[in-house]
Amino acid sequence: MIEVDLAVLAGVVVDAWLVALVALRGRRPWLQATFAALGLTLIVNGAAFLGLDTGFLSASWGDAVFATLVLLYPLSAILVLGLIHGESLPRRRAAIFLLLVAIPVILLLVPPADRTALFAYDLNPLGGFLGLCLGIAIAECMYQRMTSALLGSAAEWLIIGLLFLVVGGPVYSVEFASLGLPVAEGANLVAPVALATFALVALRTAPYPVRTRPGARPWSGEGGLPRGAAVVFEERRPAYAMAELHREASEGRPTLLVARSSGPAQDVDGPLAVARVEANRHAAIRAMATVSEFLSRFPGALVGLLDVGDVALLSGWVSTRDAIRGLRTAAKETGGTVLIGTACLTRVEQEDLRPWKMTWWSLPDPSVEIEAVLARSFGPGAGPLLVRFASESGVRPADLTADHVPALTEFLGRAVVAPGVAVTDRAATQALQGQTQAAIEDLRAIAARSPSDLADGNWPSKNAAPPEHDLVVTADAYWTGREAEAASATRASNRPSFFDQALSVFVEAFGPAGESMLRSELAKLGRRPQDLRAADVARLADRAAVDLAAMADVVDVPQEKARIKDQIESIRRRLEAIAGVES
Amino acid sequence: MNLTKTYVDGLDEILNGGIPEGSVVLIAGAPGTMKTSLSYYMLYQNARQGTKGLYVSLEQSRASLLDHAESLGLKTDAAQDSLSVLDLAALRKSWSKPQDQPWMDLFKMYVKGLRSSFGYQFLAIDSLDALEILAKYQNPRKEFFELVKWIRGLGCTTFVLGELPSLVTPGGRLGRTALAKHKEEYLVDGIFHVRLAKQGEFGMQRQLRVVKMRGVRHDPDYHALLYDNGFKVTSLMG
Repeated sequence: MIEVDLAVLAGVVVDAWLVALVALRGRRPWLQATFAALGLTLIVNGAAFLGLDTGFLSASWGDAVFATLVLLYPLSAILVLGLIHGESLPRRRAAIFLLLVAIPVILLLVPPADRTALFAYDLNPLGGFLGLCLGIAIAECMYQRMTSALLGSAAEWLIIGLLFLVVGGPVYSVEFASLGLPVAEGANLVAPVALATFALVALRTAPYPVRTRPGARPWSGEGGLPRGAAVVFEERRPAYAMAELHREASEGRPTLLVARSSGPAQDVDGPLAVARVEANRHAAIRAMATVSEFLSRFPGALVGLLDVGDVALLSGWVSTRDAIRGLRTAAKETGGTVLIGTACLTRVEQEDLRPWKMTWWSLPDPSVEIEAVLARSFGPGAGPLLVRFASESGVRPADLTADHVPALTEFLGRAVVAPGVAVTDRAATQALQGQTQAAIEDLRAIAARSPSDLADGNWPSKNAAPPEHDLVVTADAYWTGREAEAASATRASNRPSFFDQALSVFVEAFGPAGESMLRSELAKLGRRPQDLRAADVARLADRAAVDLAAMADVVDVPQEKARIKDQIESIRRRLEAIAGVES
Repeated sequence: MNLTKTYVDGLDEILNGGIPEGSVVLIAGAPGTMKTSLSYYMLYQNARQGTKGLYVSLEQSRASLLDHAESLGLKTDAAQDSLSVLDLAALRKSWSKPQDQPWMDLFKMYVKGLRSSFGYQFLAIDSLDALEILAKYQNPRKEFFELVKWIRGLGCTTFVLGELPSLVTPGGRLGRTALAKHKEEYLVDGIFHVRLAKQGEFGMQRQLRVVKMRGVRHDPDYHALLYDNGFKVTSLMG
């Protein structure tokens, strides 16, 4: 039996290493506790078996081997369900914990003489109980495998782990006993393999690291967003969604922003907690785990997944859609709110979400509305005014939000009203001041409107009146914005388009294949070359990290493989740089 | 003229010493005639002698190809550092819309890149038909001409595998155009034709014929192609 002893000893070492690994790398307390309990059960089981087999422990330790053998199966079932449902397990499948209640009763009822592995796996109530535990876990995995694209891969690994438990337990013991071969009494030789598959799933589905504000606690305030629901912010860019996140966070609500590193949350700080989505195929399941875990820790919290398009790009739309469904459920169960931004989703993907009857707010772009408000008073001069203001403020006109309105009103006071004082025609001066004052009031009104109010579709840009050309010509004489506009236009015309910049990166890396590959990637993004924006280039960068990674795998020459990987990484960095510079 | 050995027992004698270096050789045959095995074998044996080779597989995965080679007794470890398999079949599977990819450009990018970094002297392309389908040739003859010209520019000895229909033409004779679909036989430097010939009432025998090999005086007859711990080409028994 020396070989069996060595195998069990190796298993104990592996179990201990896996427990330590998940304890250090995991970010879900419930799951880590269950994993540790299962790991320790296997360690005690293996160590007690070794002690008995080598004579270091007395025969009374046989009960410990038997007890841990029995405990192994309900704990495995709980862990498997925990890996599928995450921190919401106590809410979704609380009945699973009843399996643990039955164990002391079962152990007391089994006579000492029958406390053997063969008895446990026999056709008796104890065997039935262990079968029930495995059956629950396998049935849940099969269900997820068949119904969920998001959890399908994880469920496959879990089924493999459970099958190892069955082979190493009942099958091994019963078959060897029937052949008259020595049985490793009570020890499951391949349980470490099962534990390794569970650890693999635990790490692949682990939430992203979250930087949480010190002192954050469950929230019971009111807020301006629906509680227990997912709210879709349909925006060209996530301006209002970001503003809502900041507003609620500043009021003390625990708020989490989940975003790609190259996305809009790059410079977020302050009361927002931030989780960065990493560029790999498990993005959807990890994003969902991150949100679920955050909502479980802080019931009533607010979470923003503002660019679902990034996640869909990495994990595929079907998995992402499953994740959104999971987030909606998590919000409902915890009384929290999940903001979902559709900025980079294709039209087809957006239409796929509509039938779910989530709160859906179609919102305007603040910069467009600001320009529409100014156009009411200043006609075509609104554009040059905004360019000048943006230039002074160090932002692009297209990036203006409601947060810029106070500064813009102050700017209008300086740029329009003050020069107007110099006009000798008193009536003209008064008219200009009146127009400016009206614009300032309109700007304040639009800035004060909440997303739910704007979702009714009554936007200034929809009610834009024809410009008053005469006034504009007169006013233009006072404004110098036109020079800024001309300079800006010159810069814009000299700068290569996003497509041309991305094309040069691809062609440099892949030669003539580069252009076709870039066009193929654009087709997957649902973008035409002329429509490519900075955000799309950032998404292309992610695509390069994930999709093109397969290009290195087809080569088996290490130096060539390394060269291709470097090329792909270089593409990713350069595209991110292009997107970053343009942002 | 430098000749490169095939290390197929009997074939180098038929070729009067070997294949002229830098030749592009078409290995044409019906399914089941061991074209893949034969070409891999020649690369493998050369790799064992230190001459590096690249096998480009467009249909069969690397794992499947190496399993097959192991089953023939070709220990992959023995030629690991000198024989590379480019598994473009895996790339086809991993991309969601493979039909939209520029396969010919990708193929050239990999083959050229590996020529620089790996420095192979032998190249095998399995197969021309798969490349034609992937690259969606508009004018096959013209594009094959360009491809062969490009391959010749690499300066390595190249085996190109071509599929032939498994049916024997009426009368048991193959016409000239039967060795290639788009008259590649005019473009390449050499042609090995492998076929399955009926032997007796129920038996079949693999046979090989060197149809063409520029620059060498070769034996143009059919010979039996056998595998017994290595490929052998022997005279046909009456």
